[in-house]
Amino acid sequence: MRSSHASTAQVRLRYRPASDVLSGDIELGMLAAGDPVTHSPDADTHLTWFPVLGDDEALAGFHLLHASAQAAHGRLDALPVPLARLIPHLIERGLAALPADGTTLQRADVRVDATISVPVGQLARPSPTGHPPAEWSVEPADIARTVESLTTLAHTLGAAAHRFPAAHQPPTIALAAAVRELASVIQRSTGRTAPGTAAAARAALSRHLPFAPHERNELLAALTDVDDTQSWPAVWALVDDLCASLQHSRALG
Amino acid sequence: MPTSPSTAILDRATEHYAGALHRQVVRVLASRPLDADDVAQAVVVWFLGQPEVLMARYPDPVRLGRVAARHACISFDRRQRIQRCEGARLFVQADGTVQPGRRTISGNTPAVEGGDELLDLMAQPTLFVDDHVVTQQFCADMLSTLQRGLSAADCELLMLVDGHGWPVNVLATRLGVARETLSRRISRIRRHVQQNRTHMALTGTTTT
Repeated sequence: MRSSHASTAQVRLRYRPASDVLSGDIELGMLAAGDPVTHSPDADTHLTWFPVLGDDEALAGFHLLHASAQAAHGRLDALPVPLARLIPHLIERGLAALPADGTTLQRADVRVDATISVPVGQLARPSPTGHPPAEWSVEPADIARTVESLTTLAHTLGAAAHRFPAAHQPPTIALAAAVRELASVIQRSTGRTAPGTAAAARAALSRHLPFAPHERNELLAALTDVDDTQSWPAVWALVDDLCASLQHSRALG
Repeated sequence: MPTSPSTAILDRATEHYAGALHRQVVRVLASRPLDADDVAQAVVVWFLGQPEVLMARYPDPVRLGRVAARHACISFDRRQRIQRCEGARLFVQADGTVQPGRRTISGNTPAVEGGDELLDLMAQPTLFVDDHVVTQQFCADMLSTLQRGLSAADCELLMLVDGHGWPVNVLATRLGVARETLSRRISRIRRHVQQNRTHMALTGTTTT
């Protein structure tokens, strides 16, 4: 019998820059033996593993949400190395293909594809000891409190956007949308974090916004701490203070 | 449907919403044995057909994403069952071939009137079957309320004249009555329907 390590699999990658979603589909063919198992280490990463001959499991597909933000923050370690090397180039090509003056539908239709051959051995699932177990022991009250804080922040930012000068409105709306999505995803993810969405919010924060330096630093710290459920109480405090500060700051008039 | 003038801010908000919608559909469907990215793109295209309406109804794109993904899953499962001919009975035809004798929805329950149309509706990937059925039921209730108090012959006359456009004089000749007689009867039926319509508008109900 031919060893699965010596075989190669065709990996088809698809990237949609408008929604920042990267999908991969791996053709394992006859090597696949058994039913697929889907694993989501967080709310923004979904991996599908197939039992294969001679190995425990091999990657059969994946979805990476907020892929550009995750790639920018070096969060591609859940994927095999050959794919993690290719993905930044694919994302760059996709973002360059977005028409600057196109309609929303035209931009949503943009998609870039790539196909590579990868040895099946390099698609093998890492041993469980290499990954710490996911944190599932989050109390529902903690989730609700975090969601409440982030939702309030999104509303504050959304209300503030209309008072800002025209040049500052688009980045503020982008930040408000990212924070709102972060709150909604955390609310529905049963205690899992959403590092991709948080990274996208941090990326939105890095744009030109009319915030004081200390407000920007506090928000950045909150959006960093939200990736760790143990730090959520600190997030509440930071975000609540920031909301009060934003509501009374001179920037909001 | 009227929409407000396109502005850069509205376009930007729509684009953010569409992106979040796409991502949420992928989140929900990632563990399903279907192409989550394709389904999500179909949902986004559907959303962009009426963005302002849907953004007003579902301010949170994550919530709409969950609803749309659920409907897409139901439609996908139903379409697969239809394609697998599950629930269809096969009958031997006169020429010896075996064909579905009648389309059934499930098990051995025969399709009721309009069953074929219902199966076609369920096979559409982007149609919200539940909403469509509710709308159809509402229209049927409204029509029933408008016809309240009319005989079956009255309803048939009204349908022939106002629905199919038959001239009153031609219809009177075919029915063997005077044109004036038929005209008075049609007028009486129309007044009755108008009274039912007024009552329905004032009470806000469609049920008897």
